[in-house]
Amino acid sequence: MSKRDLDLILRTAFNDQEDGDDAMIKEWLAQDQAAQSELKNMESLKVGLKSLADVPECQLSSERLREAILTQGVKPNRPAAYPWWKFALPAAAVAAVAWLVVPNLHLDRQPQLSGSTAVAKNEATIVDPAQLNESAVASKSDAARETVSGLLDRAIKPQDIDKRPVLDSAPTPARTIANRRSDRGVTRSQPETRAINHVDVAKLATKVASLVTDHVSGSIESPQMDAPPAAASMVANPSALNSGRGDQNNSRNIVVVETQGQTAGPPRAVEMQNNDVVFGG
Amino acid sequence: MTRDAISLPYNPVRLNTAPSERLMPVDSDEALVERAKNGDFAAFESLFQRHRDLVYRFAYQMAPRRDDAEDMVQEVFVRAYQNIHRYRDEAKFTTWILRIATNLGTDRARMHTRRHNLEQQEASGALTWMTMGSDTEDPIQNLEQERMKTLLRDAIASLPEHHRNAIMFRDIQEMEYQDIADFFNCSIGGAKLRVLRARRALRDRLAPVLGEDS
Repeated sequence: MSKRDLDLILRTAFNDQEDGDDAMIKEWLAQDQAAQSELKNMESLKVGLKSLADVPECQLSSERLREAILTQGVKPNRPAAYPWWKFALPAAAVAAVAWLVVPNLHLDRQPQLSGSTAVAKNEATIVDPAQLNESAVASKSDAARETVSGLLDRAIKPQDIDKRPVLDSAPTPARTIANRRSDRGVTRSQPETRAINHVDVAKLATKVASLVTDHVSGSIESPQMDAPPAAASMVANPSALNSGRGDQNNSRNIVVVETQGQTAGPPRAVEMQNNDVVFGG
Repeated sequence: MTRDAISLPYNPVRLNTAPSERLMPVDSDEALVERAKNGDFAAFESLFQRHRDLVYRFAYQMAPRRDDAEDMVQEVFVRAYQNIHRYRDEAKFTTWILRIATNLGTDRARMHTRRHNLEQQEASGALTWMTMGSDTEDPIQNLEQERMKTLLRDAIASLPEHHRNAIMFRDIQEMEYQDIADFFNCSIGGAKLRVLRARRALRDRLAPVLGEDS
């Protein structure tokens, strides 16, 4: 039996006949006994295959399936759209570059002292740090501000100094100040001042006071200073003061800031006669 | 268990659009798969309840014992759950799940020497197709029928995988040619040709015995 004939018999037995198969098979079966036998065998095969579909009832439950899934380890339903390590590598590279490029990742926590103040060589610590501590000054209380600014304003005349501390936050523009010592009228521009913090102001006050007390004669009531004298950071120009002295009325009083030592108390302003104050020149 | 043709309670529409853009029934396989992908295990359980018997009948042909077949069905659905994110809506869920089952069944079929068993039974002349009929209360006849089934399963298992699947899909589970074409990723004509060739191969396997009896 040829393959073509066998295919015709298979299609007939399994009811997959094509157009024209009915006529061909009927004519063929009428003449060929072998074809009839083969057709019967194929029909039996079909019945046998159908019988294989009769299987015992499945007793697998969803609970058993759930348990099996949990036992075997449930993988994430939604896998990562992007593997995590592909994010970690670029992030690590960026961090490494930033660490190499940026020189100062560790910021300097020390406060920066503002203000263009000239510091003398023998600058020492604040005479009375307990009274002029940073916290009290940094609190920017109006009373502290007023005390320090008042001391400075009364102790140092604005026209005699080059620099004067100001407590304004905004820097003042530079202005021209006439030079009184010379007839040439050299114009000096007052440098631009900046707002300084109260610590600087306090230090200035102590330095001025110590400078004054260093040059005061024994007629001045000055308490024993325990702390070493602090050099003046902003000091009145002795020359200017000396030169100004001749132009001023000798009966004019000036205010001197006295420091009481580290434990005696805050510096105090003392009004004294002009003749009683002697400045070194 | 009934041997009705596999009939679906709905008529899923295959569209070349993303699943989120389709208007599909709430209880369709595609909708349940999408929910299962998002972690809804209840949706996957619904899929399991719906297609368990289909996979079981297929698995039983590979492992003709209920316990073995149930283990295989369990393994198939566990793999399906673990790889649900890989399911693409180009093929039907039944096609996808049967592919998992066939891969698993192929692995198991390699472990058995069914061809050797078939040859032994052929030599003993135990294959008598002409006397096989419906189930009766005669224990001897029932025993004979069980032996026939065993021989037939062995013959099917000895076929190449593509022939074995074609026989099981069309002649045992009575799937439509469209679904068979989806599984083999071919046309309906190609599916018919595959089934025809599989039947021919099975017939050749049984020809020595069939020829002697006829």
